[in-house]
Amino acid sequence: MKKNGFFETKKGKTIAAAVILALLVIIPLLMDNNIILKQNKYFYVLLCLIGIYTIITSGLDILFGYTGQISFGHAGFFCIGAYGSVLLTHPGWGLGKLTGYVLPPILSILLVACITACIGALLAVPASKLVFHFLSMLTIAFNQIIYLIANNFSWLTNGSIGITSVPAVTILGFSFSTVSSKLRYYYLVLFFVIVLLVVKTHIINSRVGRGLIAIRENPTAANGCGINVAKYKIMSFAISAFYVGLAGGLYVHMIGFVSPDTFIQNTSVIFITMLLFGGSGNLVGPILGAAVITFIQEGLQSLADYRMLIYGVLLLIIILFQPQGLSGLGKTFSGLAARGKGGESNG
Amino acid sequence: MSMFISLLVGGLVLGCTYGMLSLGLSLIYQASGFMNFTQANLLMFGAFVCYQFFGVWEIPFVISLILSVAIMFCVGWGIERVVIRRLVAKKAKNVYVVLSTIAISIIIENLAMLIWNPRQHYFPSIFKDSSPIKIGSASIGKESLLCIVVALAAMVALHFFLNKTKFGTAMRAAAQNKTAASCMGINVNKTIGITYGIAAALACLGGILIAPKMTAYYQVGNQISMKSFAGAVIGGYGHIYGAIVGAMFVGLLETFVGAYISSAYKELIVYGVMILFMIIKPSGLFNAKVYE
Repeated sequence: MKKNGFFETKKGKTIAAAVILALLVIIPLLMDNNIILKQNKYFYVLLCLIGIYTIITSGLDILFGYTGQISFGHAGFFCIGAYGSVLLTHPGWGLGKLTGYVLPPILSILLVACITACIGALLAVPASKLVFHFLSMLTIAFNQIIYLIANNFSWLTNGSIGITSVPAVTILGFSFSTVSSKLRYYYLVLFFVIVLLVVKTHIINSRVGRGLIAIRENPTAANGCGINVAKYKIMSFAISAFYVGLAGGLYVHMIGFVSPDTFIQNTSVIFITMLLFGGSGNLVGPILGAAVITFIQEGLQSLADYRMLIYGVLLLIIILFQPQGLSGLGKTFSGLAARGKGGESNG
Repeated sequence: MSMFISLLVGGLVLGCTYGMLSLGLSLIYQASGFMNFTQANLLMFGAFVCYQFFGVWEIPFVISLILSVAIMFCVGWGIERVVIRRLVAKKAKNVYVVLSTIAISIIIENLAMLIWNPRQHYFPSIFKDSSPIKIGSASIGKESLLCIVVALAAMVALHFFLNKTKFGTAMRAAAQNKTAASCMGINVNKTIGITYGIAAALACLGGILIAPKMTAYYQVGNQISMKSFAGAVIGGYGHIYGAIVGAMFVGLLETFVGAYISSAYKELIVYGVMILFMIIKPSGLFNAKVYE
């Protein structure tokens, strides 16, 4: 088990993934029918949130963990995804208000993710030339601008009041409304999480992924090997933005409400904390970080005043003592994490 | 005309405050090559420390000012000593150093909120006789004038400290080339630590001077953080005089846009100008070196 541990082999990994997947599908289903534990709507919301945050942190991981580019503006992409999807589907706002026609939510989520990817690519054009300090600043400014637009352009976004009663996702007449059943929406989120994680794995193991890793290790050497550094950085930004935009759409159709306060600068910091806490540059880290931080967040609901302080301290401790995050704690930790996550789902 | 003068003074006051921050940012960038996101929250914290001395315990203003500046100097030095130096010694990636400053700034902000509760605190007026000074038809608050005068004095003092004293020369040498400087017997760690301290002290001074106008509030840091960065970028990041000019520009731009166009869009315009500078001329007005 030491050098060629079961979970290190390809077959083992496939089996582990299949087992986790089966658990994630079956346990909520059993819960919904009160076979094990009790039906608990709040718990489904938590699972959905973890799924959405997993998508975000995985997207951020492509940018930060694999390409080595920092972004403190991912809440801005999140905001574009959320507001974009609302404006395309809400009968009273945006497209619905202007033309009377609205898009079906599932289509708008995908469309908005593509738009977010384009905006990410646009942002990356100047960003790919800057040293990382200026990159972090540019992304913060981007976040602030998006927030200010959402907050100040009342005719478009209803300002700080926000937009309520966002339509639910419907696919071919099958409603994913979160009012009647949160469980259905959980499966929708799970579907997207799995697809996006598979896509991420394929990107990372492709020519593009190796190019990104080369840029992270040494941009000059990568350039010397014939990698178009600027182009790959732009691609990385766009892919990352696509993930986060999609997560934004999923988020807003679950919550059914959108207001600018969700997308303040602190949200971006929380995303970074999740990623670093879980461990960047691998598949399991972002999932782990999203899950643990979401549970911490919900556990600390009564200590809302201390929440950001705790994030700050956590972030500092991770940076100082455990830069690899949770998933770097041990070599076989991915196997342990699989069991740990299954256990968490049980509780 | 009187509106123009009072706007000009208001803009200069804001510009001076941003200038104190941008100056600290540039000093740190020159000395260590890192960006520091704690500056703005140090400003907020410094203002709160002074509020505690002056407003709550009613210690005379000059003494509370000196005390809080001294405390913040130690805080800045301490941050470098405890966190940054340790990370640099571990050869951590640059990204992690920047992240650590963000973590510290979150901690400072929330500590201030917990210590002094999230209310806005009114900073007592510094002068007993608070009647404004008349210039032509415009009347200007004494605190505004004090802010501009002290900020300018601090900038001039810093200029002489860096150029005329032995330690300032050592700091500039360490900023130019660490290895060569340490070969010449300069304690590079010490100069970097003191640079962080000076930056924190400048931020504290700026915070105290702006506090009577903006009230002491734990989110002040977030409000002005990006604007001080905008000032530093527009002037040319890492260029000390550029930082002052850029910050003044940002302060004036914000005030005049807020007064003549729309106060809802003033921040958008400031950030827009900063992003334009980043895209078109990242080296800023004073041609600082910023490309990878």
